[in-house]
Amino acid sequence: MIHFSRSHLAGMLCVYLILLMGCGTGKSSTFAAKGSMADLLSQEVTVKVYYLNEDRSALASEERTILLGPTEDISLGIMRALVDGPVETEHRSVIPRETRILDVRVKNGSCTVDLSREFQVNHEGTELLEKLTIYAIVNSLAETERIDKVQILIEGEKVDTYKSYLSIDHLLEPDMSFVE
Amino acid sequence: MALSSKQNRGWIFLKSVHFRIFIITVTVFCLFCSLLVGASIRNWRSSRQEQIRSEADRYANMIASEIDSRKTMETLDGYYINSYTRVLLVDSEGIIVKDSLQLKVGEQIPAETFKAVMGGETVSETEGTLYLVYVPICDSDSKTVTGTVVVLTDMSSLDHEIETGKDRLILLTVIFGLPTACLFYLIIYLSIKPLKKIIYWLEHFSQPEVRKYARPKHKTEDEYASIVEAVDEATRDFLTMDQSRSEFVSNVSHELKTPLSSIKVLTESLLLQEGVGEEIYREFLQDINSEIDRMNNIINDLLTLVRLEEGEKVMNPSPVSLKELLEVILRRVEPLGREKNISLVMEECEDLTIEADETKLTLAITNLIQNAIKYNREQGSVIVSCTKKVDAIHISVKDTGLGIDKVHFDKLFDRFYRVDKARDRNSGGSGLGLSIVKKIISLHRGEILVDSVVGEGSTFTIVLPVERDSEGDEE
Repeated sequence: MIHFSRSHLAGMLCVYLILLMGCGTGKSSTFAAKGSMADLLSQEVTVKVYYLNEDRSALASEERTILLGPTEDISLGIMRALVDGPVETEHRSVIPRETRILDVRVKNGSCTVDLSREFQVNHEGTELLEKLTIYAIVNSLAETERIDKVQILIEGEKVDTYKSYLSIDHLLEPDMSFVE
Repeated sequence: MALSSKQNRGWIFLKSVHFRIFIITVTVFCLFCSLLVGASIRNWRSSRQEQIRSEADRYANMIASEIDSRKTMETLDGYYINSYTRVLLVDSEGIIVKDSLQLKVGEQIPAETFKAVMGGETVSETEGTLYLVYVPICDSDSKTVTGTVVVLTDMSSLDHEIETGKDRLILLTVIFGLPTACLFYLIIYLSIKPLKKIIYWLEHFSQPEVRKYARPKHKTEDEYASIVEAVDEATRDFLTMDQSRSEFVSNVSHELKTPLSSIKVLTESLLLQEGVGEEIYREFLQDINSEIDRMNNIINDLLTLVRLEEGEKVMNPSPVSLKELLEVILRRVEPLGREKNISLVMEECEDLTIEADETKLTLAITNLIQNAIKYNREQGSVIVSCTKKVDAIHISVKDTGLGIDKVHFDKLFDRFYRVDKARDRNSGGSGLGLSIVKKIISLHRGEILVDSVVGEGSTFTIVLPVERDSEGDEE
């Protein structure tokens, strides 16, 4: 019969740490020096992004300056700004915590945003907040010239309803009625 | 106290062999896995980079050829590749006319690379993590370069893929690592478990019941079985030695007690009788004297035997001429033979020289000849010979005595063993003579053989190996 004591667990923990350490990989450095194509194509842009207002009852806009890499679309920059949350103290974050952007692509005026499962799972779930979250994304992206409609995907798949109330299985157009 | 005991148990566990083997095994396993994962990620990264580059090249060429066939540079619609790739159309002046991200239209691209492309060359280059392909757009009619397709791919997106892959690897490690570690532990624990039984057995070895019944049993011939066998063998040797020592002490006591008892009886008889004549006194004193001589012989033989037990370090080898040695011995024991009317004959003896301890070899041969005289019949004979066989020298002492039954052969050379106890003691023997002979011969790396027929006589043959040096001397 094997009896597990704290020493056993400490030993197991050591082994685990070693195992986890073994999985590490280095990251490569990014872009090139100034005066290059990378330098030419990188740029700072100012965009209008929608967050929750202070009492979380409507959307409030915020001007954000974002740095885009040489191959990064402005839509990706907007989504990053949404995920990062507001700068202004009276605004509240609209995207559920731990949400990751998997892909953002624009084609023929439609923007497809692919988000991780946490976007759906970690949402608080009231009807108003559902709508505010979705239209914060749609309205923010539609502020750019190239985007008219937005399709939201979860882990690469279309879903019928975001949480319980709002259908998101189709292209969504901006709705400014949620903006205060 | 209880806490301290628990802590001690914890430390004992950490110091245990199976835990240490477990840690070593798992560490080696983890290092191996880390190296494997690291190498896999490096290979995967380089192959993905190659794949991304070739995809970018293909797209750039495809766009350039399609634009050439349409003879237009108006649109980039339908050329979305992925979120880390950007497509630019540049006119012959180096001005960006189309941008898949619609951010840099109208801007001038750096001149250096552009000049080469306008010469008609396809150029690819890497700027940090950015891979760029420039493909010229040629007018099929005029064969002139009308513009350039630039495809840029940011390979830092691979880091994101690697991060995702790493997360999956960690998850896999957690899913499979814990059961694997538990399996390792179980295998090692079960492998080491028999050792615990052996330790228990050895700890309680002094208790005969435990020694017998708690003896670990092993079905396979593994290292544990070897340990148990070795312990068993050592125990058997120890018990035999212990028994032999007890027997020896008992024999010595018995052998010394017999003459002492005789002396006591003789002295008491003299003391209790009054007016004993001088002749009787003398006779009794002679008997006492002979018993003392016998005790003295026993003690001397015992001391000789003890010295011989010390092994080869008591040996003092030198070249010995066997013929001369036997002649000297026979001359020395001749009075004893004459006394018993027994003839001593040296039958055949080659002139052989061997490397031996002369004193000890003399003692051994003398003992054999004295025995042959002592246990011979009246007017019998003792024949001594030495011959050289293939790889050994045989020295034989043959008598015409009563002979020895074969049942005694096994114990004949044991200390204090006597074939005919009553007669032997009367003959004044210590019971150690043949033991001394055997010990001396084994110190010479030889052996002693016995052949006997009851009623006809016995032959003791000393077989000594021939060494090359002595062979050389002879030649």
